[in-house]
Amino acid sequence: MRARAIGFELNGEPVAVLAKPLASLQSVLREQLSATGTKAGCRQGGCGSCTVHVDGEPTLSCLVPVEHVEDRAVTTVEGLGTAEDPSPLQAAFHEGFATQCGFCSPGMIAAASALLERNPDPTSEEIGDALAGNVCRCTGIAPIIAAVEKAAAQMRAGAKA
Amino acid sequence: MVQEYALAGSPEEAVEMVAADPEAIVMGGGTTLMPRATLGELNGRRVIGLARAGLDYVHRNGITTLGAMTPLRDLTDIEGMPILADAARSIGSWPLRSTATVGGNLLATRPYGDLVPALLALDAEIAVAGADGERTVPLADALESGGAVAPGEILREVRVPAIEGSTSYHRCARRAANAPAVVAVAARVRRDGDTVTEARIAIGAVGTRAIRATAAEDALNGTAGDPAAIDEAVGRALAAVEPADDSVASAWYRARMTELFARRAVEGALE
Repeated sequence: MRARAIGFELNGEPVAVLAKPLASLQSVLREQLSATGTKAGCRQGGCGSCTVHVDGEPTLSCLVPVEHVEDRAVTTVEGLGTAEDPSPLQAAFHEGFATQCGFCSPGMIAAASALLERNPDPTSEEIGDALAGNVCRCTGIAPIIAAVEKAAAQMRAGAKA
Repeated sequence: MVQEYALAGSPEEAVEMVAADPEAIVMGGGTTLMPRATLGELNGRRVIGLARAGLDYVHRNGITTLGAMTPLRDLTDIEGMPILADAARSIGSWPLRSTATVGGNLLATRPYGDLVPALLALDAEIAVAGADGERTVPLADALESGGAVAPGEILREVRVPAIEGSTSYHRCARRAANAPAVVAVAARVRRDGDTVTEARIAIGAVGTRAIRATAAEDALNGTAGDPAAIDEAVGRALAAVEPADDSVASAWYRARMTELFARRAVEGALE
């Protein structure tokens, strides 16, 4: 088997991994780079819990071979903010208990942040459309949409993304 | 178990690599193959990837040319082609559409392939490249012959002629996102005054492949698109398909939804 060295940018820092052919970006993030914020749910593109940004585009990391992100910029939930300095979205999810069990939150927040970059003032319907590929098994959809609306309002008022 | 993943660096290199190794698995965005690779169920020695082959482009110049590796995301807001935009938006979810490609959707098997009825209604052609050069085939003919792309060839691009007439796309699924289609119907109608001069009705997700329902189209041609003509077209659309039972829907339900969604598509195009 021909393993290959792959370099890319992860949350602003250059990283390099030695990966088996067609290793998913998700498995590389979690198992080789300890970036376990990104979750492994269905591993077939159906649940959204592994959503990350690749060059700013929301992407399901379970469906992307790591070879495809060579020389590209990957942003995970860890790159959006920290526990000490959360992004407005992360803070709104926390404060509004939009997390419940928390498993879907990293994917929800990755998709929602991509939405707010493109549309700073989305309607609840537009938020629902953008997050339709992210499944919440706690069925906490209403607080999630409320958290995105709250973060959007804060960001419009000048809070940093 | 896959031993090697080789990425082509240009369209020419992709053609050379695939022609030289017809047994290799050819991968586009990876949305249907990656789940199998992750489970260790992708049985092939070598996979050739098109992700870096320079096949991601949309050219508008009278005809619209879609590179095979164009992500569906790039079609969801395509100007002046609502039938393509509606079809693209109906597929998967927003993050999935960053990865899923035009070519992959076209070559995927049921229950995937919801772009195909829209492309059939637009009289699209496909350009297929292999060791002997490139050939252009009407998409409808390629589907009818059973194999749009032979081993050793790649799908290079899709060409859509300048569109005339009004269009409509209606897709039935059990959820708004990430749900396979029960049926997808695309319709296009060109009129001279009140009279329908050219109708297209294409149906996907019902049988083994997407089809053009030409008898249903003929039921509209030459009419004023009146209710009786619509009824006749819907009846013929249902007669043109062989609804299958699967985990998405029963054959009975598919037949009922084919009638309903064919009616919506035809009425939408006639509006």
